[in-house]
Amino acid sequence: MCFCVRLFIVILLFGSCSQQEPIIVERGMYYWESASNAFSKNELEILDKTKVSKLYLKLFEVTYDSKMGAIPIAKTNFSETAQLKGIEIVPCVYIQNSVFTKMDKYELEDFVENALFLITTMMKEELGVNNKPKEIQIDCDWTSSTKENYFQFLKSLGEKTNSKISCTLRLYPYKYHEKMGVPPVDKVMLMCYNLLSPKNNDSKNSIFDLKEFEKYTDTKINYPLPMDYALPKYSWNICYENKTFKGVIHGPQPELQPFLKKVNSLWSILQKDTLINDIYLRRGYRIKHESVSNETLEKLIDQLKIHTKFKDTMTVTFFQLDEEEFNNTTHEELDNLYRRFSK
Amino acid sequence: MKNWIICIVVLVSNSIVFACGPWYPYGEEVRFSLFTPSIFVDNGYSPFNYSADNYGPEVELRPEDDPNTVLWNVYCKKEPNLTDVFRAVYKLEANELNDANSSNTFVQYLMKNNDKAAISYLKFAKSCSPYSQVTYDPWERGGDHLIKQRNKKIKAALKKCSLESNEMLKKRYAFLAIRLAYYSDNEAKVNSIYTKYFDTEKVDIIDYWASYFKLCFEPNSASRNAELAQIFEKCPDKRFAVSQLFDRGIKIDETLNKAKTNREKGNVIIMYALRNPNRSLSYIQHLGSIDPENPQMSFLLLREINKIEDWVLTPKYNLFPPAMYGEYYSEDQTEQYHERVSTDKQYATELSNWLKNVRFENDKMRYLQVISIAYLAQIADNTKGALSKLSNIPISENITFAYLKDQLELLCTVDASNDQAWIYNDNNKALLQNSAVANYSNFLFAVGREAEYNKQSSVAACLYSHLNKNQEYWESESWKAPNEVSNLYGDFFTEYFFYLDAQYSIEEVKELIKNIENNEFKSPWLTEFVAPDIERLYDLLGTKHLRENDLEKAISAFSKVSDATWNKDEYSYKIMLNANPFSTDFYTEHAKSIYDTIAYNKFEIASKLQAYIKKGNNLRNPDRAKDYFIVANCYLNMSYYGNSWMMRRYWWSTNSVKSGLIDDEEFARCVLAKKYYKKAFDASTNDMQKALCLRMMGRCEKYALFDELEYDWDFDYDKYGGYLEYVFSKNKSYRTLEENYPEEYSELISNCETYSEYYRSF
Repeated sequence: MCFCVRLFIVILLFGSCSQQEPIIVERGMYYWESASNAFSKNELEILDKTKVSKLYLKLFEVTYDSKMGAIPIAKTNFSETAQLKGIEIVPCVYIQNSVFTKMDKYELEDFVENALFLITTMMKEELGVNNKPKEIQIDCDWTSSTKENYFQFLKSLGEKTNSKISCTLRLYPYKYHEKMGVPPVDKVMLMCYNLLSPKNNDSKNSIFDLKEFEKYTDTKINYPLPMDYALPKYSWNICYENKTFKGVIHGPQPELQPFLKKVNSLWSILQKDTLINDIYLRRGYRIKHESVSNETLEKLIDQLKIHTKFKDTMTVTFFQLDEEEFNNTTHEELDNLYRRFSK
Repeated sequence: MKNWIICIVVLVSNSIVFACGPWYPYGEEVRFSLFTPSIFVDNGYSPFNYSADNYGPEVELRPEDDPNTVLWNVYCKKEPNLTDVFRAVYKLEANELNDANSSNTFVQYLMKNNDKAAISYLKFAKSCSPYSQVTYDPWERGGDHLIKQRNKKIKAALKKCSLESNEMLKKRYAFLAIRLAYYSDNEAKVNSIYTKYFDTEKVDIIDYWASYFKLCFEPNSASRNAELAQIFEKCPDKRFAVSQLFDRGIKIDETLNKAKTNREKGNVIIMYALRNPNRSLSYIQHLGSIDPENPQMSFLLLREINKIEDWVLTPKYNLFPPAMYGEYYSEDQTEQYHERVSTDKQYATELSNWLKNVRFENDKMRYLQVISIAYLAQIADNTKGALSKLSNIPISENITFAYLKDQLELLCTVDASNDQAWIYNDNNKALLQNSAVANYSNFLFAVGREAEYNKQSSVAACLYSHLNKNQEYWESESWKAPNEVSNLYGDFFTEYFFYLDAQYSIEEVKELIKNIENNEFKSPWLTEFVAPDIERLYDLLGTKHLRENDLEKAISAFSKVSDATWNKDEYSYKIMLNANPFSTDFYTEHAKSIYDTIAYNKFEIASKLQAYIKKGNNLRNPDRAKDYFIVANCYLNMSYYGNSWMMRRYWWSTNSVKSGLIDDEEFARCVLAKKYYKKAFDASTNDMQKALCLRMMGRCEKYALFDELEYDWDFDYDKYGGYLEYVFSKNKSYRTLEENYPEEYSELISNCETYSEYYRSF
């Protein structure tokens, strides 16, 4: 190869790096429901029209039982993989942090083998996916005290499978990775939501608040692992009787709307006794509805772009695929949100 | 005096003791109910009864409510005792089934008739039990061994089935095979056995059991729902499992379309109403229109009445919010709460109106119908109507029914009475003593409440005194005070004495004492607990007078309390009043001061206090400044901050100064103490005396300022040096001391040892 050609390639490479833009944005969706066994027509249309290529599907959750040790719960009922037409399924497992608090070290290897066995079994027998998954994702809100056990679990999991291992990453361990450690995985999924406790922040949106987000993205952080990004596309209604927390009702719940009297952008007062999902809500309940608009998502992406040096390839995914959550978002708007990462 | 740093419950309660620390009643502990479902409904429905818990308690079936036991009994021509059949089928070991010396009448029957086939079946069934349960394999690693064992049992069961000539036993073997196949997750096997042995009209519980296991493998559908609804009715032991399988997401009309007969449709309606925490009248009406004789109607109706009891009567009697809603009392929601109760009362009338227009053939249902109509009238405030209905109900031979009617009648009578004449009726007295009646504690309390609401406070107090004598705390009665006084660690009561302290007026306590002393009620049972408490009641009366600063009357009441009571170990007078209330210094609160050499009881304290006041008021008394000073010390010590706070309260806590009692201001702000230090100041003859009086007035003022100037998180205290310094800067007495007695000021403010030196100047 002549010198000029080499020089051109070098310039091209440096040039493309300095643009701080990804070359490829893979499009993903989370699906965390346990009960449903198939997608609705609208949900399939969302996947199709917006060219989603990855589905992060929660297979099961793990809790700790004093007699049985770590046990899986809330296994997915999803089985209609034929609907997905070539979309890659990334099996996800949510592990309660308390599992690693209560678990002895000698239980870890069994736990890894059991989890891997169940992932493989469910992928084959429930979902009919015969090929080994390219990626397995683990979700856990680990803390300093559980870091050692959790990281050992991830390391061992990676050693026992050919699949790539990824894990979710909250903003706190992202920003303070020197203190919280870097998990021994192939890549991480940065969760750009749930920054605040839903019960303790009356005046802020606990799903996403730009000012809170900026606190974690105010300085350049050179995270040592490839990174994907998860954005919020969900909503919930937090119900209070006076100041007593009564529960959370997920989703937009349009049937509640006619009975709500707005107090401000977040809070309403229920005007009529209403039964929703077997929860009897009484007149006078204070209800905080939280969701994230597309405009806010655009600001989130812009803030990420200012703050982060994207890698060449990354996945952007939304939590989660639910037709009701996408009712007010057109396919074009969703498409634009994905595109905004590479604009 | 001890260091009282943490919460202290003063008088030892002789009723329930809460061993696990602070406890606040909620849910089922406060839910009011008189209509116990088990009076009318068999206990196979207990998990689905209205309850603040997720599910009601699962109670073991009675033999007569278990169709399997009944079926075996029929097989034995009803010769054995039902309880023995139940015991043999479910409890006895396999080797006890052919015991020639068994005392069990079922075993005796089988042995006598040499029924080897039945004994052999029962033994085989018991040997299948370990394999007829889910062996937990959460990680799905497989249970090959267990599957092999099950398969062997299935083969054996089917072989025995084919060889058995008795049709019932044959069917039972086939059922065992189905059940084992189900636990092996072998859908094909379940279906093939079902098709061969059960795919005909269902005649007994074995058919329904088999159907249940087959349906477990079927996808959710309206037709499966319809079949499950029938199993729910027929198989009490499968009700919980069926309720979990039943898909309420499928529209009721679709399921109803799959049910063939009105009974089947009625059973479907029950399934949709089963867990509904909301009003279910539409379901009840629907059921009544197509199948009023459905045996599950009583369950559904009771569940509805239990809801209304909770919505209306829990707030009326216990003053807690309904057990199913959680807390909703607050100042701004009181009106809303009244609105809710008002609409719930209207709903009671709607249910009653429906009941009036439906006809039941079954005697039990008819009784439930008429008594419910009466009860709903009382709930909806139509007490006269309720009494009229009750008077038309004939006396039932069923003793539980009869008791319930008597209970309601008495409750309504008290509700409608303006005087306590009803208490002289022997039947009423007998009923009140009958702890065998359903929900006895709720009943006694409700009668007490109605009496109290109708100005019969003495009778009410006597009834309250019977509550919580033997129960565990989760069975106890807890209630709040209408005046919202919170004189204990919470705003609720479990013992009558403290409730009287919070709620009863002086006149009401006096009336109670008079009634006890005159044996007004002529009922040793009614006064069983209040009569021995008479001296405590005098103490309570004296304390209430003292709170109004009426020393004369307080002394008169305290004088009725004997030394034996003041010194009784089970009370706390001698522990809490073990310091000299007439002495203090600059800082001593509950700890003993250096002058503490003597202690007094309440009578002595009040008498001496009165004597010192008289001496102070005597203008010719040269020591009146000192006497006033001592009076002020006593008032200070009777406040929240003093060593004799028990003169005004029965409970003290670091975190609650105010309780809502009449002398809250005095208790928190030491108004009288300050007044008498001022009188001492005015009568003082030298600067040291005057300066000391101002110093002590400043101490009282400090407490008042703490009460007045609650910490404000938005206020910048830093410019004053902090909150305490800010409060100090607002203290006018200290400012006067500083301005008028500058030489004494720093000594008195900064040197805590100077009190005795200054006190000697008197």
